[in-house]
Amino acid sequence: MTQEKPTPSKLSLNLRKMKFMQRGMSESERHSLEEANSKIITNEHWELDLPPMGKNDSSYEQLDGISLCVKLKHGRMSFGGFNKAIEKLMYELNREEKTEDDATADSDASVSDEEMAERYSTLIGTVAKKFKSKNTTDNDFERKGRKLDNDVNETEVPAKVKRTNKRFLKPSE
Amino acid sequence: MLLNNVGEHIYLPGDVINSKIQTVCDGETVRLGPGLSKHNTDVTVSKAGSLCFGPPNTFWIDCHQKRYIPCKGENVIGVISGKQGDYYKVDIGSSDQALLNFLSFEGASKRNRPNLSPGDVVFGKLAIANKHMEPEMTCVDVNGKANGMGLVDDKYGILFQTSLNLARKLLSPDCILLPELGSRLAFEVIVGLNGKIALFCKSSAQTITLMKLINESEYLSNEQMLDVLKGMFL
Repeated sequence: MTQEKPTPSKLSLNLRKMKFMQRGMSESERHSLEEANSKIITNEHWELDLPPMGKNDSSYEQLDGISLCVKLKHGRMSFGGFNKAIEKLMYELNREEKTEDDATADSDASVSDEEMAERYSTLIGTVAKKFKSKNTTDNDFERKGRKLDNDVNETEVPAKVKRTNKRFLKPSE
Repeated sequence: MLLNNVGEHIYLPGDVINSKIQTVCDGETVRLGPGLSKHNTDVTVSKAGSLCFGPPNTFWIDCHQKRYIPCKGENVIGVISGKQGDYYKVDIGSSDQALLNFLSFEGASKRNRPNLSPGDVVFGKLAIANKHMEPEMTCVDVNGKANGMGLVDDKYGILFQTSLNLARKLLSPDCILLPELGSRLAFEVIVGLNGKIALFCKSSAQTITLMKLINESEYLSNEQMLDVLKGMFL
């Protein structure tokens, strides 16, 4: 009597692709499955049958226009107040160029030291004003009360003590 | 005619300039501008003219040219020649007419279309410039702002054609002609890299004088220009 060994039946690909089937899979099986999957994807995608693109010979770069080779000015110019809008535009473009040059010349900082100083010098005034107005014109009762409480702790405590002194004293028997 | 010529030598199509380039930048990336192309390992000249060099590593050939070849990103002046669907056809002096979309104007929408008719002058930037397609113009920058581009009100001005070299020379930061003129006269000028120049002055006599002056300045150096200006304005 010969007993045939039951050969493990091969499961279909679709079944093996299911999530619960992958749990008990070995590493190699999973790998082969992934490969099969990727093959399916590439078969569905269009591909040009070309030799692999060689890396661009990087020592040469081709430029199309002269404007890429040399820095040219903006084409529209106005002089002597002929077209005010364009003169304003020219002024802004010039300033941008100058700041660009400065930035490349001294450091990588996006804001120059002078600009920073100028910005802060204007800020000093406004910040001071803010504090000033808070102290003088504050009509909020609640705040005032709180403020008084805070102040009183240090300054008006002796006054309070005095007032308590003036209270009617119970005559001693 | 720009001021960065490398020597007085004139190069002809087919010349190989490898050695010249290697003396300047050895082993670095080289940027090849118009008039130079790379064949296998050789850099060959494809236009007749003088070799120019821009630091640190840019080379190009400067040649006298009147026919404009569209290049992406260049500012050009065009004349509307007709409508086609959603596009205006614009003559910018190249072999093919450029397209200009109705929507590529500042503040334009599907309802609010710009109203341009054939003969109107527009100043714009080339958005698409391809060997095999019509060039496409736009009159707004990436932020949707006109930045001086758009319809040019040409009631009191003149539009004339010069060589491409002169246009480039006028726009180069080294050329003093326009700023010097500007310190003596009130005027507006639009220089397109396609060699078209629009000029606006307070009187037609001034316009004609300036036009002649600009045309004659093509082969003058800065010093010669100053001499001419001194002779004219005292």
